[in-house]
Amino acid sequence: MKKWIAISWLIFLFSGIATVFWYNEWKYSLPTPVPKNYQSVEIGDYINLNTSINPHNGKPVFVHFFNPNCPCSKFNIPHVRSLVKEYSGEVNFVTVAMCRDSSHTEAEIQDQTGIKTPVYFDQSLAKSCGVYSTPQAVILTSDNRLFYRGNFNKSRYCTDKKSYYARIALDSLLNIHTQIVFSQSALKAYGCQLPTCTK
Amino acid sequence: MAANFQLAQSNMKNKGNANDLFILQIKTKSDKLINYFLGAYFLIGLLLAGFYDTWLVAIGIGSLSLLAYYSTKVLFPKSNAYQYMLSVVIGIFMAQFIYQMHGLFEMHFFAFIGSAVLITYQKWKLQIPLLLIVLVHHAAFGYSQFIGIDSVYFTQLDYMDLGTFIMHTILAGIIFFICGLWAYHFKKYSDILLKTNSELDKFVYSVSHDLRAPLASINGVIELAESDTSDPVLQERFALMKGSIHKLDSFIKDILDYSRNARVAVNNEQINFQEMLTEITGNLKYMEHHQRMVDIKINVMNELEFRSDRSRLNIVLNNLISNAIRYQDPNAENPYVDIRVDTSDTETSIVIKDNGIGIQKENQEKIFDMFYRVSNKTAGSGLGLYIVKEAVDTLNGRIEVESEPGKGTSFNIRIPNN
Repeated sequence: MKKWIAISWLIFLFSGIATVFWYNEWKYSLPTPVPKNYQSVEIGDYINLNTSINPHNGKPVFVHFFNPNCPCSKFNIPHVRSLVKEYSGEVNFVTVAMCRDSSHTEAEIQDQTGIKTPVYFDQSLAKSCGVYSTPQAVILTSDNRLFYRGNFNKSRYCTDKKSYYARIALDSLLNIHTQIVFSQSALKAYGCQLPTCTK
Repeated sequence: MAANFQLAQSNMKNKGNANDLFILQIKTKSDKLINYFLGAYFLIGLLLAGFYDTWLVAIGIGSLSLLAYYSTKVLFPKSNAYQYMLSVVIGIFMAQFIYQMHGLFEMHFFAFIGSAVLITYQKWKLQIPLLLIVLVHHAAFGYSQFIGIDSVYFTQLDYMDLGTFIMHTILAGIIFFICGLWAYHFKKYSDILLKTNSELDKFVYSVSHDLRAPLASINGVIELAESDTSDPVLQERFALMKGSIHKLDSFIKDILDYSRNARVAVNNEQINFQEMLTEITGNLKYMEHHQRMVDIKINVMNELEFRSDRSRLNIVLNNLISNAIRYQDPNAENPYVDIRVDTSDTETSIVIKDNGIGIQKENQEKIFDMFYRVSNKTAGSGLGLYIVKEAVDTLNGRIEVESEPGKGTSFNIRIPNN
């Protein structure tokens, strides 16, 4: 009898362990909830920005929406770094730091990401581009039209080569100059909510 | 014949006890170390949580794992099930760390760390649960991802195919196999060592035991011959012979005491110091009649109940008090031995102080060594204090010596109250 109680107790503990793992997986697998008064911005729309992040040098602009406190943003850093390294000649890269407290400086963000692109703290940029989670990639054509807004990758580790969505979008803009159609897993925002990281 | 048989039986029993004691020591020591290791595992989880905010995983899974280990230990106190649970828990911690660091390859080294930690119990079978965890969860999740179940994202490698899987499993398997092999060998060597040791102890015991009977009969014959003659020269030679026989006999007794301490399991019972000391000193008063009488003062401070091993305490006190009497200072006016016993709930403190010849500073460290004698002229086997130290160690006690040549010596012993 005692033996069976003990075994049930241990099974209970192991189910607990499995549950914690599962819960953590499940939490990350959910798309970010869409904010209440979200105004959608469509592909091809002209983006009117308060802060000018476009140097208007004939190259497209790649905006990296980054939250220094968001785990998902943190996993994503190496991938963004590789994009910057590869495309910095053809694209203007900028980082938009999405954080509630304004104590961060440009140098701090650059140190954390290891990406030496200009850093903007204007929180309204997200709204203008229709971004409500981090990490998100936004690609603007040289004339400020929205070309891509979505995830960097399907997986939160950003290591699934088949779903390098931001890179695929960049390639299509630079090489074929045509709009390609992305699936929901690219366009539906995943990651942390704005402006603070709640998951 | 019957007596011999009984003796052999009790030897067998004692040998079993000593072996069990040794195995128990390995187990107790390992258990203690594992407590630290598990504590460290939990802390590592907390440390890693800082990187990607995996506090829920670190605290949740970490504490559930610890709970699983310690509850197995409590629920099945007599079984070794908790060691197998440890193997499982080590596997889970490894998975936790890998998960916390999002598949960081380096975290896979925890499989090897865990495998090495398990060697301490000297059981190759403990590697099996860990191996199974690695095997089953890689197989299950890797396969799910491979066949394209969308919600499963297990490996960062997009080529975690059967070949890679087999390669990983073989490499991890080799480590587990080697650690298991070492554990098996350690166990084997321990067993051989235990067997040799116990045979040696048994040999020492039987030989010493059997030597005493002929000695006693030689002594008897000398006493007979002594009474047959009144020749003073012969009388003196007989006395010399008896002296040597006595010396040899006490040497053999020392060896028997040593062997008894090594073989016999500790048996705690209530000790009455007043009674014990009166008996010991009563026997010792006449030990060397050519010397002066020594004033023996016994002071048992309080009569709190004290439990320890009677026969070992007896060996310790007997040796120390007889030394204090033997090495009295011929120049001292009133040679004395002052014995003080002070018992508390946790331990007893015994101080045996004399005003004998004392011990030189440079010799004080060596007096507890086996066969160490301050000079060749000294009587005694050189085993007495070694046995005292061994016996005190067996009782988990401590012994210290303070001495000044020409002034006297004081032995301070502390033994836990069981």
